[in-house]
Amino acid sequence: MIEVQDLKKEYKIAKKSAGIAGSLKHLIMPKYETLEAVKGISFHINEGESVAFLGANGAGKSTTIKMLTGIMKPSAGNIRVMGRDPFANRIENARKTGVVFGQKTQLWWDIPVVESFNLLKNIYALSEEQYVRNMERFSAILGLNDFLSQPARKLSLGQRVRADLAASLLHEPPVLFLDEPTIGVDVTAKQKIYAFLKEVNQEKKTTILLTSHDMKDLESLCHRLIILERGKILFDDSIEKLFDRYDGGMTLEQIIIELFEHGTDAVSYVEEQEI
Amino acid sequence: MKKYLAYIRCGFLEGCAYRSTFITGMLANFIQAVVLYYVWKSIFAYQEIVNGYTWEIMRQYVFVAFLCNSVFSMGFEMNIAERIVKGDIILDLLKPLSYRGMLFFRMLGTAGMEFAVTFLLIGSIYLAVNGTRYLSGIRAILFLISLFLGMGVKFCIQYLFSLLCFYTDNSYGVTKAREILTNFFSGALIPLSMFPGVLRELVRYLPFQGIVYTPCCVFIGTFSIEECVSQILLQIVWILLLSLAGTLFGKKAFGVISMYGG
Ligand SMILES: Nc1ncnc2c1ncn2[C@@H]1O[C@H](COP(=O)(O)OP(=O)(O)OP(=O)(O)O)[C@@H](O)[C@H]1O
Ligand SMILES: [Mg+2]
Repeated sequence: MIEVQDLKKEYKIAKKSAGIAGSLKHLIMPKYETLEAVKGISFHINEGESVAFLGANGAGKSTTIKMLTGIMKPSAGNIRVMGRDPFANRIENARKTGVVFGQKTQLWWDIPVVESFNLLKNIYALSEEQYVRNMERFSAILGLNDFLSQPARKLSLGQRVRADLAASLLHEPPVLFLDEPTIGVDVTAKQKIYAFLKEVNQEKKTTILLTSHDMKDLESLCHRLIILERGKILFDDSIEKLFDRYDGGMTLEQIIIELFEHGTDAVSYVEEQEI
Repeated sequence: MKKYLAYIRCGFLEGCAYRSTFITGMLANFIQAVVLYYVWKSIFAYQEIVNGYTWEIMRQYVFVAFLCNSVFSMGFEMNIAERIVKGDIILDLLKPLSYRGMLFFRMLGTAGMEFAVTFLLIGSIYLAVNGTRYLSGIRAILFLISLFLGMGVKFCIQYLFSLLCFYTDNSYGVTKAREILTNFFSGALIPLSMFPGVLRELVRYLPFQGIVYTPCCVFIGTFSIEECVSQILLQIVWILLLSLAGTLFGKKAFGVISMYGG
């Protein structure tokens, strides 16, 4: 379903020293340096899997997702999503995937939220029946009805994220990329969302790849973890395997903290596996 | 196609949400048109014919040019640049549509209301000043075609300039440069036939004339009917060329951007 091989991304960043003098200097002699955000990662996700991307801030999770969704061109390496290169076949790829970037919204800022949904209905050519059925279902789970007639700028963060999640699921995509999909969502709503995603995953064999900093939720939804550190894969296996490697009784959160503090051990673990 | 049409609706609604910006913008443009009218009036008070234009022609030209120039007047370079910097462009690219097509229909919706209001306003002023004696059915139809194609030319140019914003942080400069080019070389301020020799020749080979000068001349009758047809064909040629350029440049530009945020 999703195949990634030696994926790399380098960002070109302007090297400016601080202050006005630095800015002026940059104007005359711009200097750039490259930042390797993703350093050649490979993995393979099968249909119906639900995989969590874990990693510290700046590890390269969002960068990877941006490449998987076909909106950003990789510096090197190969990606296949449902057999297609997502960047070269952006439009085809977009039809078959649902994406949430929790930090951003695809809702129209100044017009009622329901208009954004209406637009999606047309974009994905959904039948009236499918649209109504999904909207009713989402409204029940995500409580959309309270704010459908409001423009997106008037929603609270959690409400906005809930609406965005519904928007990404409306066309029932076989693959879901969720980058921090529950940012700012309250505890009860969060629980409902993860239960719902689990249902979608099991019922329709929807493949899910998500990132979150909330271990509890990841644990309830995902059976497999890919841990990234500074653009490299540190661990890629089922959650149980991770638990097996540590003493019983540790929570996922504790294990992750342990892992990041003694990152090198974990790397050697991955290498062992490869031999 | 239906999916693109849905963008007209959202663009329109969005335009309505920005009523106040729109009204002040209209007002500013309107004042500009009136000022231009009086400037030309005083020029023609000294001299009866300026480069072949009489006051009879000019007082039509001023208003028709204003109408043509007001379509898509706001431009979307700044808007796109802002979406690039904030990273919101990601969300546009995640939709299964051509980015350019999406933009076009969205702008069409936004411009729809603006155009309707301008059309009524300028139309009535035109009639008050000139009466109905210059109107002709066939020219009116050709004018509408040419006006629509002019929008196409303008859109293609704006699209090319907005792709520049992928490379530079200075979207304000890009927008201003485009505005000055289109305002000056399209004939929005001065009819192109009044340009001095070399410049007059030059603008013939530029696409900008298609935005204002061509539809204007079609309407007020400084083009013969044959000329109207050939100039309309020229507009189509320019649209094809500019879209091709946009497609090629777009391929490069979209590969370059690194998405911000997240
Ligand atoms: N557009 C960009 N230009 C330059 N550098 C970037 C850009 N986007 C990300 N980076 C850098 O790439 C690295 C990886 O960023 P990325 O957003 O993928 O991290 P992340 O794993 O999603 O982190 P977080 O958990 O904070 O969301 C970071 O060091 C970041 O500074
Ligand atoms: Mg991130």
